[in-house]
Amino acid sequence: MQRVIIPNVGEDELMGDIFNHLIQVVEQTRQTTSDDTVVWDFHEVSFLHPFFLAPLAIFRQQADRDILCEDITLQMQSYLNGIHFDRMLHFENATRETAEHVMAQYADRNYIPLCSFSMTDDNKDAFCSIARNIIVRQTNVGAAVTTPISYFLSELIDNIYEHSGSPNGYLFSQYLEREQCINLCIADNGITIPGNYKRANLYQQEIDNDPAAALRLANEGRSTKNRPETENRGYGISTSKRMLVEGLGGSFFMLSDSAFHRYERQSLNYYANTKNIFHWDGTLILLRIPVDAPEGFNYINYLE
Amino acid sequence: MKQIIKLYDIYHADLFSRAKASLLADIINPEADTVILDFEGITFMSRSFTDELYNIVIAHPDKTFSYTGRNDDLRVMMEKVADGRKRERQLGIPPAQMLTFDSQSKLADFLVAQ
Repeated sequence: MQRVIIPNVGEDELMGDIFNHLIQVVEQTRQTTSDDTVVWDFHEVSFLHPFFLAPLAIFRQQADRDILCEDITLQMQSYLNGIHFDRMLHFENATRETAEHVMAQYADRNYIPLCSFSMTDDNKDAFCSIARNIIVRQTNVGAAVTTPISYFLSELIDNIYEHSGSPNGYLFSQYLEREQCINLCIADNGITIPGNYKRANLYQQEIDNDPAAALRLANEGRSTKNRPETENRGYGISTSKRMLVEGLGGSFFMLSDSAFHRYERQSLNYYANTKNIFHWDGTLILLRIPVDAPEGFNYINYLE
Repeated sequence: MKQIIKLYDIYHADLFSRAKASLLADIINPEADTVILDFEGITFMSRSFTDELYNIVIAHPDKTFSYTGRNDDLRVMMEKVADGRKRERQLGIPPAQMLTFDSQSKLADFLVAQ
């Protein structure tokens, strides 16, 4: 049996530190031999930042072996049970009414539990709509922020459907009242962004085997599915990101294959290639969304 | 012949995905010369849905499309998409660094306190 210590990842930790913790846990888990039982040891944990917790749960769900969780405090166990850390809520062609009924119990909480949802037309759209409604009810955001939340959810989940080949999407949301921010995680276990360009055999010269270059192209709006006569697609990520960071003062993080991208402000905007040291199966997007829009913010100003 | 399509009855209040928009192509009556899309009750329409709706409209040059019950957000979204089709795309891309890390320790040092 091999133990991996899960660090305490506090509410105040910065995104870089949170990602560092995630890399450590994922790599230590991967380095254990496959015939050995892995135990995640939670004895240090009194809080886990949502941007650490959600990827951790997704990684565990996708792992090809059992990962046991031990030494969890009662309070933390209660929280992990509440957010469905062990077994995500799964929505597979549930009727809209059933899904609404299940999710309604979270309207007075400050989180949406870890959910997976199948990527069928009806299912993903219904789930997207219900998730948005719950987030809005939990946070009492006004119309100025409700529409951007709808925009982020619809465009990012539609991207999973259109490009990833993933059978499921994942979502987790946690409202941190002290920060006055919604921490939203949207993910898939599909072919990744570099993988999508490779499959389409597009932009391979620009990418030149650098996965970070593929992320940059996707973030710049270079779609693999434009119409022949016009650049009509590829607006989803670029517009969402500008609306979130430049408009609302939030932050954006994307991890796909062996690259990640951060955009929090003009001075913190980069794409990183981690080809030989870290990879992620699928694509993970983390959005930090302030619940109060700056004065004068109007999402329309960010539509291209 | 005039056809009125009440979008709320098909989609509820949110028009989210491109794939859902493409369903409209099957709903449009080939006999209709005027198609009225009724947006009453619709509160949100994504850019992807709007773009696909635009594709459907231009794929039916023999029909006149009109729109009722749109709120300002929906109207502006449709104008933005139509406008985007008429001009070359201008990418407002903020400058970003391109980084490569070849060791975990270098990556960890870079990420600390950031």
